[in-house]
Amino acid sequence: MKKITLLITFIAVLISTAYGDISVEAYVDKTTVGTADQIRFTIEISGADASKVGQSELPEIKGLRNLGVSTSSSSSYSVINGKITSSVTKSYIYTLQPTNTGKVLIPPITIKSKNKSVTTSPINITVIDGTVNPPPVSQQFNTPQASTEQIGDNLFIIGLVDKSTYYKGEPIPVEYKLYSRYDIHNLSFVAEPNFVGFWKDDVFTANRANFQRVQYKGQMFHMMPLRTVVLYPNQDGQLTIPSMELSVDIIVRSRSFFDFDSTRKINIKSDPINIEVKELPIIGRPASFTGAVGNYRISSTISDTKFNVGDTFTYQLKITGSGNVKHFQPPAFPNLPFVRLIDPEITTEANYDKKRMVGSQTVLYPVILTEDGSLAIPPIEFSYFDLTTKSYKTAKTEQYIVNVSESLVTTSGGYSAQKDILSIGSDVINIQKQAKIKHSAVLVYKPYFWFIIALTLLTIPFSIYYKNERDKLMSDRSYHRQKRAHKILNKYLKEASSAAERGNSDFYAYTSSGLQKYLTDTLKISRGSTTSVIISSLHNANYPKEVVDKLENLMNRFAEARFRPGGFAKDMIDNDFDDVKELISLLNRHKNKKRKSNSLKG
Amino acid sequence: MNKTIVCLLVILATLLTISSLEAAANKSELFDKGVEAYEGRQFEEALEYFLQLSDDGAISPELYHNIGNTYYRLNKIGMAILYYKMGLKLKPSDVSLQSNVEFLLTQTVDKQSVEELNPFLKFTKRMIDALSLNMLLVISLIFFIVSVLIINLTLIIYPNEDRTIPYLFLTFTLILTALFGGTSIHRLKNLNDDTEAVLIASSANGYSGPAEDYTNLFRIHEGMVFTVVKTDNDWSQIMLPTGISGWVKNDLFLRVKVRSK
Repeated sequence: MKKITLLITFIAVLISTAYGDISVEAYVDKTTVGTADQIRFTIEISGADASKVGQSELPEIKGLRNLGVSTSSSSSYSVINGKITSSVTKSYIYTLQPTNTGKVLIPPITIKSKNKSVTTSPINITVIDGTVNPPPVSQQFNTPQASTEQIGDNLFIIGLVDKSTYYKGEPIPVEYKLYSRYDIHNLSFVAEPNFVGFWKDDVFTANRANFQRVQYKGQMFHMMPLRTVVLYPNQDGQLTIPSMELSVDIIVRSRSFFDFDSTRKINIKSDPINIEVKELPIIGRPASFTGAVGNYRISSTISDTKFNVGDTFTYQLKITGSGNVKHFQPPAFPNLPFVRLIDPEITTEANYDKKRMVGSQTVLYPVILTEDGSLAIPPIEFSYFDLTTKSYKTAKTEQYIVNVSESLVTTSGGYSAQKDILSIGSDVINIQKQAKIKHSAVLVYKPYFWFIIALTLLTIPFSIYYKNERDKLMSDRSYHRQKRAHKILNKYLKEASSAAERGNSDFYAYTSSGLQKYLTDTLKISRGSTTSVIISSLHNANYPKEVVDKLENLMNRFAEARFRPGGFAKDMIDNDFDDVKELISLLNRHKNKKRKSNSLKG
Repeated sequence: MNKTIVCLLVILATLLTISSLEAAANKSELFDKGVEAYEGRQFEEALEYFLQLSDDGAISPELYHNIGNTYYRLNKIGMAILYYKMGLKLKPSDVSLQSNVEFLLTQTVDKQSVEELNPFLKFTKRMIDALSLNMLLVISLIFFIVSVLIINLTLIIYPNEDRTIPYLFLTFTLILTALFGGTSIHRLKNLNDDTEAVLIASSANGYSGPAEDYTNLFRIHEGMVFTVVKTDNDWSQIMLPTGISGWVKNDLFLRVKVRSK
C-alpha cells in the first residue's frame, strides 16, 4: 500500500513538472564597468521545466568578449495541502570582458522550452576607461562595495506617478519605493515632505522592512514599498511632488578574513516629480458643483414621512464612488420655508484600492418641521466632474412628500365637550422692549454697601462709651463737676465780657467767681476754697510755677479791683480780660498735656 | 481753601452725574436701535447693537433675552440657550426666559429634559427666586441695621432693667438677617458659579481623555447643556445630564457666566 502511494506521488510530480511553466530573468552584476573589469551576465531560468531547457547560445555582443560560461542549478519540492509542487532554478553565468569604451547593449536573449519561448529584456552597459571598483563575483547576488560613487547606483528611492497631467482635485496616487543592492537595516524617514499645493490622504507607510527581489534596468535589486500617498491638487499650473528622504544603515562587508563588518549611515532621497495641473472647465459647470472629481452615484432616505409640527426628521444622502471622496463639500439642503435646519453631520469613508480612492460620504441633515400640511421635499442635486468623459455630470435624489400634522398640547382636565387647545405653531417669546440696564449687577460689590455695615457696627462702641460716661457722671459728683467746669467758666466769662463792654466793675466779680469755680471743679476741691488753697492745690497738681504765679497775681489784682471805689478805664478792663484769656489758655494747655501723659502711662 | 475744595467736589460730582446720565442715554439708545432692527427682521444688525451694549458692560436679563432671541432667529440655538441661561442667572423667576429655554431644549438634536424638582424644593426655589439678589441684600442690610439699633438701645435705655423684650426683638431680627443674608450668599454663589456650559459648535465628540487619541465615548450636538467638571489646557471634562462624563475641546462650548462685579 505504501509503495503504491509513493508511486502515485512520483507520477504526480512527473505530471506536474511536464506541464509546468518557466520564467527567465537576465541581469548583470553592474551596468558601469571599466575596460579592465569583467561583467557577470546571468540568465536565470526557473520553473518546473527549467531542467529541460538546454544551454542557450550567447550571441556575439559588439564591445564584449565572452570569456566563458558556468552553470548552476537548484531544485526544491514542497507539499502544500497534500499537493506536491517542484521548482527548479538553472543559471548560466557568462563572464564578459569589455573590449572598448562607450555604450554596449546586451541584446534580448530568447530561451525556448517545450511549450513556449521567453525573451529577456535588453541591458545597457556603460564602459569607461580603466577600472571601477568591482564587486566580488563569488556570489550570485552580490553586495557592492559602499564607495560614495557607487551608492547612488545601488541604493535609491523612486517616486512613481501614473501620468504627468492631472485635473485640479483629481486623485494622484504616488508610490515611493526603495531599491537596494546592499544589506541594509535601521530605516527611518528623515522628515515629512511638505506637499504644497495638494491635499493629501496617507494610504500606506511601511512599518517594517519587507523586501522583494526585482529586476530594475537590467540589474537585480531588493525592492521595498516605502510609502503610498494620494494627492489632490488644489491649485492649477506646474506643481512639484516633493522628494521622500530616508535614513538607512548599510552593512559594509569586510574585505579580509581578519576584519569585521561595519555599518554606515546614509541619507537618500527620491527625485522630485513635476506635474502639470489643469483647472476644471468653467463652461458647463453646474451651480450645484461643490468640487467632487471622479465617478459617483447618490442615494437618499428619510427617517419617516408622518410627523407633527415641531418634530425633527433626518434626511440621509449617500454619495458613493471613486475620486476625491474626502475632499469636496456635500450639497446643501434646499432652502424651504416650512423647515428649520441644523448643521448636517458628515461621515466619510475612503479606501485605497487598485490605485484609486474608493468610498462614500454620508450626510445626515437634521430637519425641523415648522408648518403643517402635505409638504414636498424636493430632490437634492449633486454634480461632479467625470474623469472618464472629462465632463460634468449631475445626479438627483428622489422627491419626498411628508405629511405634517398640527401638534397637540393637552390642557388639564375638562369635560368631553370641550376641545383641547391646539398648538398651531411654536416660537420663542418675543423680545423685551424695555430694559433696566445696569453696569454692576450686585450691591455686595459696591463700596457703600460695606460702608453702611461698618458705620452701623461703629455705633455699638459709641453706645458703650456713652453708657459708661453717663454711669460715671451719675455716680461721681466731683467727676460731674470737673466735666462741667469749663461750661460754668464760659458762662461767667460771657457775663464778664458783657460787663467789660460796658466798662463795668462787675467784670472783676464775674471773672474772679468764674475762675474760682473753674479751678475748684477742675482740681476737685471744695467750691468755697480760698485763693491760697487753690494756689497750693495747683502746685500739688504740678502746674508750671509761672502759670501759678500769674494766676495768683491776677486773682489778687482782681480782688483788689473789686473793692476799689470809682470807675475803670475800658482799656484797663480789656487788658485784664486778655490776661484772663491767656491764663485760661495756659491752664487748659497744661491740663491737656497732663491728660495725654496720664493716658500714655495708662 | 475749604470753599475751593467744596467747589471742586461739586463740579466733579456734577460732571460724573452728567457723564453717567449720558452713558445711560447711550445704552438706552443702543437697546432701542436693537429692538427696532429686530422688529424690522434685520437680525444681524440687531445682534450687533445688543452685543455692543453687552460688551460695554451692560447687564440686564431683558438684554440677554433679546440677544437669545436674535441668535435663535439666526439659527444659532447654542448661543441662544447660553444667553437665556445668563438672563436666568440674573433673574431666575423670569417666566419668559424659562419658557424660551424650555422651548429651545426641545429643538436641539439631542434630547434634553428640564429638571423636575419635588414640590418642597420647587416651593423653596420659587421663594428664593422671587426676589432679586439686590433686593435680598437690601432686606438683609435693613434687618442688620435694626438688630444693631436694638443692641444700642438696649445698652442705652435698658441699663439695669429687665431686657427680655429687647432680647426677643433682637433674636427675631437676627434670625431674619441670617435668613436673608444666607439666601443672598446662596444666590451670589449661584451667580458666580460658571460650571454650567452650552455647546455652541454644531457637534462635538466626547473622549475618555484630553486628546482625540482616546476612545470616542459620545457625540453631542449644538445646544446641549452640561456641567464642566475640570479643565486641562485645551480640553475640559464635562458631565452630561445623563451622568455620562467625557472630555471635549474648550473652543466648542461656552460657560454660562455673568459679570457680577
